[in-house]
Amino acid sequence: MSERMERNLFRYIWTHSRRQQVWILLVVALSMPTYFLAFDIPKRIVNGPIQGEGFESPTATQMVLPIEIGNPFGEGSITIFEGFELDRMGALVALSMAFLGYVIVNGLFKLYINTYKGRLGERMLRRLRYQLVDRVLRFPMAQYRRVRSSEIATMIKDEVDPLGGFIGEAFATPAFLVGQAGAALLFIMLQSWMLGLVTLVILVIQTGLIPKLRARLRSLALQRQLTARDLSGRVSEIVDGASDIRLNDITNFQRSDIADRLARIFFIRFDFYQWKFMVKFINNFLAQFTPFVFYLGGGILAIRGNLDIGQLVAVIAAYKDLPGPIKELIDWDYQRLDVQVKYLQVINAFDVSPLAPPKAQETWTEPVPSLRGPIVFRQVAAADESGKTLVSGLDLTIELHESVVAIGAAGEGADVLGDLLARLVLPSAGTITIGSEPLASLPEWQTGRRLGYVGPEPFFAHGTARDALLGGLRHAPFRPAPEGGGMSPLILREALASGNPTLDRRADWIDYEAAGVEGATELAAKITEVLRLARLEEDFYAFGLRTKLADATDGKSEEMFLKARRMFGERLAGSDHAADVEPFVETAYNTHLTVFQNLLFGAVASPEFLPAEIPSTSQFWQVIAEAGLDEKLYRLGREAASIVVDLFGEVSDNMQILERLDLIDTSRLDEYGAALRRTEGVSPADVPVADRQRFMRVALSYIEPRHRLDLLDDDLRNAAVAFRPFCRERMPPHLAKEFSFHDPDQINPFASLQDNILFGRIAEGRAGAIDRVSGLLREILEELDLSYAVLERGLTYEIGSGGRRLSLSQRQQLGLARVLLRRPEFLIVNRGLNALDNRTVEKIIQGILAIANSKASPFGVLWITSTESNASYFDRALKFERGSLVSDEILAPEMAAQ
Amino acid sequence: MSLEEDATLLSKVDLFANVAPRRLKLLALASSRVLFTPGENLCVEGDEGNEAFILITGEAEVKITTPSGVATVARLKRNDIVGEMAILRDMPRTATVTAASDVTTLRIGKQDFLNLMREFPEVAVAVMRSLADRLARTTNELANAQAARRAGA
Repeated sequence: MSERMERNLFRYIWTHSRRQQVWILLVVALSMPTYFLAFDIPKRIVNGPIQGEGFESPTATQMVLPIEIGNPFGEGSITIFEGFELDRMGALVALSMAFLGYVIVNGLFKLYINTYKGRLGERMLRRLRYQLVDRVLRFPMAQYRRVRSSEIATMIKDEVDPLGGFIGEAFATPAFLVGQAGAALLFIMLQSWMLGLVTLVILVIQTGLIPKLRARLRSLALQRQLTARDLSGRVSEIVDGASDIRLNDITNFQRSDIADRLARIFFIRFDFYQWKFMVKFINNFLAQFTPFVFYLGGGILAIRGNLDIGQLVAVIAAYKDLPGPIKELIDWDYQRLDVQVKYLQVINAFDVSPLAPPKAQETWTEPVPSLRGPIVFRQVAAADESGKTLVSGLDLTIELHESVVAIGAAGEGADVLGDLLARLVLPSAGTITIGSEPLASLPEWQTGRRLGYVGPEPFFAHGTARDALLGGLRHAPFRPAPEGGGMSPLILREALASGNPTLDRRADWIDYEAAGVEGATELAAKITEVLRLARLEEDFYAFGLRTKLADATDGKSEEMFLKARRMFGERLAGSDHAADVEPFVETAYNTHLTVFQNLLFGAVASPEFLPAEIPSTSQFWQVIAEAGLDEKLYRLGREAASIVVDLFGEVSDNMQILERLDLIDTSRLDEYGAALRRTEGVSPADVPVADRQRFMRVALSYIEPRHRLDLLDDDLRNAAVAFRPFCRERMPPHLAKEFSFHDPDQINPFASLQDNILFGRIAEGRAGAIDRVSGLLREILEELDLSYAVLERGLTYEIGSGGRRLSLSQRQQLGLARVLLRRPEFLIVNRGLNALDNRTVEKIIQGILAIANSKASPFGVLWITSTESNASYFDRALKFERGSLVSDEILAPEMAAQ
Repeated sequence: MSLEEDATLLSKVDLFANVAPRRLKLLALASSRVLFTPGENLCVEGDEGNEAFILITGEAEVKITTPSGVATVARLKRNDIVGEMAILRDMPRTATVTAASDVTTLRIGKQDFLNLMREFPEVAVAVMRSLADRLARTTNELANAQAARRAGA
């Protein structure tokens, strides 16, 4: 098997497109006759019908468009068709029509050839790109730690791009050009062998010298490519590490580093241009040197009578056709070398060994055989990249369904045990076997489904939490895509023509069997189960409650949510804790909403609309003024600001108590102080707009129970309630679509699910209110069978690139849930939950071990951690120190005996 | 339920008796009012405590677990403080406090209190003085008790 990439670009092209290349050569050859005939016709039109050659008398006729085959320079051609006998006017029409015909035929040939070449190039490009990504997927694990992802991406995306254009030209173009140049040279030779010889000599010098001069250009082009790739790697490092760069104040070092690289690139590129134009100059000179010889040498010969003047003119005319093809040929050659270098550069980066054999990653839709334990380590040693020993002399047998905890601080060797078992690190000595099979020989379609590995930094592609969770189940296309969604014959044919796989991306890739369910509906319960095991259920449930109802809700579930609202209201009223939620009542001020929310009494479509974000030119201010609220709000805001500034005026910037006070932006305390002094004793009507709005914004954020400045009076409360219908009336039409008022009998699509069901806010300051309300909410959703619907909404949460919109602990929990969902036979958790608090980890361990030790679906666990705190739950504890196993203790003898 | 009121309330607590009223207002701002209904626990024996409560209205019962069952050992009223030591040191709650009626409290978070001391060292000094007073008192009582025992023996 050719596991190495083909290093010769031409051989690569030839191997994969031999038939197409031959075909294109044939078509090019076929297009030649009409191509040359089209040149010939204009001369005949001008000489014949137009200038009247051969039509000297008005009745004269001529044979037009004969078909002859034979020697263009000599006698004895064979006439196949005599031609049409036509008069002058008829000949003009016939010849012009023939010209038009040739033009059309030529154009069609060109169209076909170009399209064919283009498709050929694109197919080859697709093949090459696919092969490169395929190799990336098969890299040895250590390679991933060595390469920079953005460089790999640049190579696959940009650097191979020019190859596509070249591949179509690879064989046909040089053949065509050599033919053209050869014909012209032959013609010169026939006229005068001496001048022909001179031409040949200069040609040889030209074709020999120019590529030599261009060698330097090539090496510069190579440097240019490498430095550019390096730059892209550095830029992506800056982006990825931006927070660290800024937190350590090393931005300026980055600036200078980038400037330094740009300088290097600039000089390489400048050097490149200098050479390029120098070579161009020499090339042009040589091309024009030949006519110089013709004029001088040929002229002398002609004057002396050694050469016929007619012949000289013919030679010079014939030479006109030579420089064009030669120049193009030299350019093609340059392009060839350039592309070859680029190709080699790319290939080198991907020629890594040992690659995982394709068999290890086969698409496997059949049931996967179970692991046949036990897992046996025999004299295993492993070293890191620098050669430092990580573990040595490891002898260990773990039963397949045993639960083992491996304890050791970082670097003591416990974590390497997990990495070895997951094959992230390869042993430098010794063997690891599962049952009778060496671990190394197990295919990935077996280990990837039967072994589960959870590391400390799980990776998630950009997408929703649900995608991330199901990501571990996408093993193979188990069921074809729903009707109309499969691969069309065209797509299938192209995939085959480019050596791409014919696996259907749109098929159902979810391995329901691995999750232990029959289909999509049962999967729901399973997802809930694993989220609960990873103690993530509440998080996603809360995400779900926070989603706006407008996001993908059909009428039916809206009705259900409305029902949930009624049930919630009734049950809460019937309980001892009716005051836990302060309901939205249109005619009453809600103390747990901000003043702003009380004024609007509704929700906006945009994610969140804070008073600080209202533009200063907004119509809102005008409406407020018309309602006579502006002065009241101004007074409240100014009063609040003055209390806060008074209390905190001397406090340093990062006072944490201040952070809890969301009324005023802590970094702008001084501005408020200045504004307070400016407006001291000024009547509200005379206060400048900016200051008035500043204080009104403070007032709009005010919540009495939270801020407790005792500023709300009944007057303002009543005014706010009275404002609601007025606001509704005055709402400009373009905003009306973006806004929805609270209505007890209507779902509010722009409010969160929780606001919709509670139809009120949880009262702040009632002990246990949050727990009681969530409990009741939960109970009702459960009864209405809506729990999963809420959880599912939570799972539509976009987790961001790499899951960055989740906290590290949530990412770790999600990583665990993802692996648990596919029910591994042996679960390795390698410090996979080290960002979680110990209480939570303990509960997770209990939950997992309860299932692992069950009769129904037992599995083995290797839990690698640095603390002993939860060790007692396991059957067996291993301790590692300085790379060796120092203690191996059975903790549950009765379990081991079974 | 204003800031002023809460600050006044705080000033009546032993521990904060020496703290300047301006600073108490800050502490009041960082604190929050919490309402308990009858039967609800302010704290549970053995739990980790990281907050203190000052009773504003209502009454609460202090219960401890003894070998012979749960015993009510005290009743708390207005201005009494629950778990003041918890905001100064890490220790499990030594008793369970249950609301006997509707109880309004002012909740002081441990972190908020520590932040305040960090920001204004004079608050820490004031608290230290209160603690020193208390220590002196306790020492005195102990000495008296020992003297009494010796006298009795």
